[in-house]
Amino acid sequence: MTIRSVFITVLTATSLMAPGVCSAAKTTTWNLMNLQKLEGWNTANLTTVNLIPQGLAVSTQTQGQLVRISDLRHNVDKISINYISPTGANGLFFWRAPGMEDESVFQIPISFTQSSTQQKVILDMGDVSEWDARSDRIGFVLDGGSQLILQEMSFTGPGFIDSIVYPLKTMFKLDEIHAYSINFLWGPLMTYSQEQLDSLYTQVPPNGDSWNKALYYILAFALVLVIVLKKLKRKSFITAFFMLFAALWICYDLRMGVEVISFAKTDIRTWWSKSIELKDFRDRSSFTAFAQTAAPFTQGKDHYVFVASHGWPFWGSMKYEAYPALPVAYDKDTEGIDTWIIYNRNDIKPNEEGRLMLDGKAISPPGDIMMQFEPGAFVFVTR
Amino acid sequence: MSFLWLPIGLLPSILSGWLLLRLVEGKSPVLFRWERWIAGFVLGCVLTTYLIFLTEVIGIGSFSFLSMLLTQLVLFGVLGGLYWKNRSKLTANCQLPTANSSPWKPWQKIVTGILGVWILLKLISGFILLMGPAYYDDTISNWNIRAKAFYHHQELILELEPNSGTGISSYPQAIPIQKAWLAHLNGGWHEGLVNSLHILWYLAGLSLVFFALRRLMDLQWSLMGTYILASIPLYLMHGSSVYGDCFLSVIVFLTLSWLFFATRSKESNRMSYIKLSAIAAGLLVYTKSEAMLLHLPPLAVLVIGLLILGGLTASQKRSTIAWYCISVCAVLIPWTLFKLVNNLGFGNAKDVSGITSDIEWHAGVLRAIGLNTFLEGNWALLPALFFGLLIFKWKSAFRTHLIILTGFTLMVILGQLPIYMFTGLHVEALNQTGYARGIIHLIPVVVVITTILLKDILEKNKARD
Repeated sequence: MTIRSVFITVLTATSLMAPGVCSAAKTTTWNLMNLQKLEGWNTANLTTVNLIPQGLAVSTQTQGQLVRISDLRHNVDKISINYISPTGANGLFFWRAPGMEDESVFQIPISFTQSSTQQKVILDMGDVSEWDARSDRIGFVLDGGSQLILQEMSFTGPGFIDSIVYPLKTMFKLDEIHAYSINFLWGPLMTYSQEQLDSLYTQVPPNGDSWNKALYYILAFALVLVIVLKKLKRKSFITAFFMLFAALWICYDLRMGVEVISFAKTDIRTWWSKSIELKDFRDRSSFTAFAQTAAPFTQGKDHYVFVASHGWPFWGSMKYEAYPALPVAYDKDTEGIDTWIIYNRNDIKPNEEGRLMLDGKAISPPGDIMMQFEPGAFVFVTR
Repeated sequence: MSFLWLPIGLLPSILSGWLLLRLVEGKSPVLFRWERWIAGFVLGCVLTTYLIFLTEVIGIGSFSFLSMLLTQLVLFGVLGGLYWKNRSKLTANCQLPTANSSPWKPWQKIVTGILGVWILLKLISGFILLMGPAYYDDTISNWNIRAKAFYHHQELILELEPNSGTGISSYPQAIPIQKAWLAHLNGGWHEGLVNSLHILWYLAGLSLVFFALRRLMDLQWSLMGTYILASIPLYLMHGSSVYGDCFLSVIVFLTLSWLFFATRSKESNRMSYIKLSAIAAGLLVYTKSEAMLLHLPPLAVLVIGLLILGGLTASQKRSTIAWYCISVCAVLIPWTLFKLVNNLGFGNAKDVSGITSDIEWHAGVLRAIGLNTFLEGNWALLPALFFGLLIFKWKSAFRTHLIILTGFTLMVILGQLPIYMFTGLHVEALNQTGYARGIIHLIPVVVVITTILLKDILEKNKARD
């Protein structure tokens, strides 16, 4: 048998097996049937809680809580719950995601069908953006009048290949520049599914694990190996260890350097290469271009009235762009101020008399719009 | 065209800084030629702006173009005159000790070339980020808006908006004054021009780390240490942003590295380093508020340690005390008086007088600090390498001259921890708004320690094999 034929055989076998391996989902099961002792679960305000062969039997006259300390080590997009509920029950399924305060949880409503035989409810958590399999508490709030025998909970997520492919894909998913980038950069992260990858930076903190942890494991393992080999062979492999360290360092530098370069590329694409009316600046959208266009209208003036959809970051940025003229809020003393700068306020418009109207009330003397930047963003000067 | 004003505007600072350093070195020059120019630029920025500040507060000057120019010319004239007067003693051109470089291997040339291009790409990106409109909060509410205020009003105003507390009036004005000066030269505010300073300070940090390492190791190792610094992501972000922390980190580094080299040197060279360190320590005070509270106390501990254990003669001890005391007091006393007279707070973002009022344990601070240090992308793998080397090479780290650098770093880090854990400043750690900036100040020092220990461990291992 030639090497070529061995290679073809292996390749064929691998490609035949691959779909099966890829689709093999990973499941963690919390079984509650035929248990001698209940571990990891806590209850609060439930009337009775008993461990019976069929599962964990709870009944409650008032609203009560059943919660388990969780340590799921893989991504989860389906949760299936086996139960028997003679009365039927309603309540909430909740979890405490990483970084949340002790008393805070995310929750979704859940219903248990009335039946004297085993039933199953499946929660599709892939559609719940707040869901995080790394939550350290998972449980239920049951309404008063509920009876439930909880038998089994299964947490199912993507398979083995996904758990390798997605962390690698996520490593090079770059963040955009934000106000927090001066204080911290998330760095390379890991996710385990397409949904997680797509929604990685849509929340703070991002929905992913740090790659640093994996790199520390690799380095720690290598260091132990170096120490063991030194003992066995009496030869030092410390240079090899630092070569590995250097390789990881350069990869890391590449990842983070590409992120900073991407910040600059975005600035070129959205700011430097556009005409003023099309400019967007980072996460401030059109505001910066508007502020720079509006600022000349304040020249030679001490104050102007500034109204925007949000205080931060617009107030400080407008003040900076128009300095030394200073902004005044419309509900403060605006007597004698003739320039009004309005941003992202479609609810503020001049009436027939020429006064700016907000909630049906006139907030300015009569005047004219001197510069309309975009709908809801304009400079208004009183007559 | 506006950018042409940058070299012209920086010329007074560079020349004054260079002259000051050269005069201080006296008959025993210890700095490389380019190192002196670069350190002169960094320290000259603080020196000239401090004098402009002093002339303003005592009423003989202002922040007008003419007054700023005159102050800088007078300073240059005085320092130049002193140089001229002492020129016969200052011409000594010593061959500075540098480690011999081993011949370059082909792969070393290729890697150095690739990494050089890579660093250049990142620097260009940083420059593009700096050229854009003002973005970060402290740029808008402090660094640049105060510069705009000084430029427009041509005087030192503490509140940008009466009774609104706008702007951080208790911060030293070195950076805003330097920017106001550039705006005067340009005849108008130019965001790109005034912000270019920050990438120059970042470059100065890289260069000065290189020169410091070059005294101790060959060219390849010195370049590697410089690469390590250039690959720290958050340090690059600070070099590309309008904040004062990178600038402060360079002056902290100068103060500490010169003290470190003093402990390794003998006789007149030692005194040159001590004098240089003392000058940098004085100017540290007028760079950023943290210097007074976080950096001067550990520095004082190290200088006292040097006096007791450093093997100095009685006259060297007297000279050391005099240089540090006079240099630091020359800035500290006027600056503190100015703060007291104007009822300005001490501390950084929060007044230090208020932080002791609510001392209690704040859960989550250590976790937030751990995340920021080890699990985010801020410092790449530097914390693991640094602390790992401190453990494995603890004798080199703590029982050699390196204790100057390691002792300072650990005193500052450990000194900050209780402030975050027990006081109202815990919010700065929990929200990760203040903690990382304290680390930025130490990064060049940490990189030098790491490179020295790394070289130590690898070369010993090579010799053993």
